Amino acid sequence: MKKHKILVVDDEENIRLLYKLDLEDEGYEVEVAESGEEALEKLKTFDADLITLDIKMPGMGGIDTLHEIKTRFADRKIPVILCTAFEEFKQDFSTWASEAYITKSHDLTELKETIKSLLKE
Amino acid sequence: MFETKLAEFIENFHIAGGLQNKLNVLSNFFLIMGMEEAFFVSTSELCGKRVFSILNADEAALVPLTDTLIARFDDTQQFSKETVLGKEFTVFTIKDEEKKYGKLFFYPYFEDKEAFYRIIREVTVCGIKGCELKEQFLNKTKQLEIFRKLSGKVSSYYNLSDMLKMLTEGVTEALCAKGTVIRLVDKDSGLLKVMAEYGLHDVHIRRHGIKKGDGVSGEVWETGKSKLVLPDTAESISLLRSKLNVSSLICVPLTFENEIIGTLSVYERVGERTFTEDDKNFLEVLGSLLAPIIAYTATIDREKELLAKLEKHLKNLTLITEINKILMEPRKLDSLLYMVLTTLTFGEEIGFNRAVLFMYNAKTGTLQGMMGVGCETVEEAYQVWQRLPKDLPAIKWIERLRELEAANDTTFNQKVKSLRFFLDEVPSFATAYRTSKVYVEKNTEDVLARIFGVSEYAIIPLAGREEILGMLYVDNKFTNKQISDDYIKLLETFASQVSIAIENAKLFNELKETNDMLKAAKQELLIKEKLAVVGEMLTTLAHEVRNPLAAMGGFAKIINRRSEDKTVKDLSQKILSQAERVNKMFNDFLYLTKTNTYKTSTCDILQVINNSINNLSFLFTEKIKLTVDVSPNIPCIPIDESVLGVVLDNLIKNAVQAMPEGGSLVIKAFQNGEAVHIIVEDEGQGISKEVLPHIFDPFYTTKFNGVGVGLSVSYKIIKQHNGNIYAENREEGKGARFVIKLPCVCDKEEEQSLKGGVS
Repeated sequence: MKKHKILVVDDEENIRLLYKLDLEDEGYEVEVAESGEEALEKLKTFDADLITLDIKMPGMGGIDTLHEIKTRFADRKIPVILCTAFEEFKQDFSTWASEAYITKSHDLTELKETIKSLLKE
Repeated sequence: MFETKLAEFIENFHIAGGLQNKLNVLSNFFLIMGMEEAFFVSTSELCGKRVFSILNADEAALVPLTDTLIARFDDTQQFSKETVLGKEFTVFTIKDEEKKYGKLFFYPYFEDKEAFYRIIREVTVCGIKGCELKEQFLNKTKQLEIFRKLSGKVSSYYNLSDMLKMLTEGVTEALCAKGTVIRLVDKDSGLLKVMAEYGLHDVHIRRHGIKKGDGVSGEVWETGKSKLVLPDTAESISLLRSKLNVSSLICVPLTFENEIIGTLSVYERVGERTFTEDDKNFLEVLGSLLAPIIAYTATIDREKELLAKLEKHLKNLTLITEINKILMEPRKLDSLLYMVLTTLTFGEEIGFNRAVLFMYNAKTGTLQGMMGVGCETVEEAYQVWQRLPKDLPAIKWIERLRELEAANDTTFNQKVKSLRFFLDEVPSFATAYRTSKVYVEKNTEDVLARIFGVSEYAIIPLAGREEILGMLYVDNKFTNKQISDDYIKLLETFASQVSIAIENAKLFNELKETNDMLKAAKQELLIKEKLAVVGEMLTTLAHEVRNPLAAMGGFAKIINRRSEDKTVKDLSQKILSQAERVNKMFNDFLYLTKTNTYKTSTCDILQVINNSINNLSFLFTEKIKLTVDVSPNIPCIPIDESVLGVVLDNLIKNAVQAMPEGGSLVIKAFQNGEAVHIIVEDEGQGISKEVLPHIFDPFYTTKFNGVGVGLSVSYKIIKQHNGNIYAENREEGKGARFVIKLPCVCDKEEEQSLKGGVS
């Protein structure tokens, strides 16, 4: 079976490492990017099936990156999961363009469940 | 010889002065003539009915017979025979053409001396008549002297009561009477009242006013005719019986300009004789002379009284103005009410003994005793008044009184506070309420009179702008001063000022309350602001901490999963649980701050539609015809107004942009069952079959400019509120229709609680 490809976008090195380790344990192929700009660059070559996107990042923020992804790669219809330490971004309507929204935690169960259900669709 | 004696007698008789001396001369002559016994019964005005012994007569035995002897006065004959005390006396009447003077009795009768008897009779008549004339002359002289004396004195008096006092004394002296009373008609009460009296300490005269026709004075007042009551008459007996304790009196009317202004009564003559018609005539003349002077002085007196009253009124007005100034200052209501009541009990003129305030409750129709100023007992009143200085200015006075009362909450005040009446329960309250005027209750035994122990009191209604505010009660329990019309006018003026002051104070209180509320609200806002700052800091902190925390926990979990070493597994598990603990702590903190920042709300749909239209007014050109149709009584729906506003903004924006050539835009809202429908219709090109299924997809747009998130955001919002949103092409005509269905809160109570949750 072909491994699903996930792009993890986060400015925090440790989070990137954590997601990579954990998601690879789950059997995914994981690529990381430390900024929105890098993510958009990587997407040109990396055929991601799903993207996890941190909202608060220096430079191009998560929301802007989300819009860029949705417009530039609209035809690829890549599901995006917004990850943040802030619950309240749920209230921001612009985040609703993403497919899912989860709050960051050491416990990645919710993230993994969401990834599973999104990749099934 | 006898002729000589006779001549001597006649000469002596003429010379002798006074009746008694003349009778002595007669006595001598009778003795010479050989008479054994003789006496004279007088009926003249000079002596009155009286027996005079001339020769050896037993006066003590004769006096009781006086009336009988006079009654048998047979003056048709020159001489007659009468048996008195067993002896046959010869009697001849002493009289002239004008009147009778009396009878002369003698014993025995000598036939041969008839001629001399005739001479004696002539002489006696002349003598007695002369005496009488002289007496009358002296009397007239004396009366003239009295007139002169009294009129001289009268002109030096300016005060009515002093003058009347002098007159009673003068008249008593002039008429040798026991005492004198002057009564004048009191125009207010319509009664004849004693104004001055003299010498009647042991006489029971009626001092409380006499009605017309009542008693002797009342009769004189009614008829305008003088009255003379002599001893031993029926009227005299009734006088004695009526506890008056006098047997004779003269009463004359005091007439001025054909009006009877009073009466002058003289009681009981002292000395030998009693009152005569002449005395009566004298008094009549005196009365007619005095009446104008009395009337005049009374007028002056009244004018003086009026002047004094005016002065007092002026004082009152000054006082009221002063008090008004105090009343109009903003102050607490209870403090004001105290001022009002104290004012009513202040000073000489307003100066009621006690004042009570009842506040009116329009809802229950009751009057509640609020405050009472005054005392319950005379002793208490005396004590309070004793402790007060007499010559302080009004304001100081009130303050002083206040200190005293504050020191001990009076029993009277406590009693007042326990009182509560229905308006209809007390007729005086009801009347004052109905007429809105001061009402004076006199000679009453109603419930208020019983409670306050009085028979007269006044009720002053306090009229507010819309409703009666309350009632003031005042009485004069201790001084018993009557509540006159002058007071009523004063009270009415006062009441209107008090009403305004009370309303002012109420407004002031309300203002104060509002101010306090605002202060509290401000304080709350400050706290919230602080909380918000704390929340913000926490959120920042959480963001900073959560990432490394998540990494720590996550790594610990991976270590735990991958390691085979039991110790490594245990320790990594411990790292994980510690990280969890910190995470939970942050979650709790964030939850706390969030409850203050995020609110659920209900929204007024019409308001939201109007807001959106206003926000987007720049979009509407003349070509766009806008119609808004929101059914009345549409329920509120549980959604934040700003959130619903975003949805409406999007739909309206879309609709306008779909009609670049212009057209009709219709926004409708109505209730359908348990849902509220909001519909936005345009007259654009409609939605193509390809687009329609994707219309709510994010970033799907038919527009060239725009990211196309508007409709997908709207979709998510409506879905999140358990509603539904869909688009369709209009069957009739052209254009698209967007329909939003949101469940409304049908349960009113729930709606209330939701609304309540907003604040």
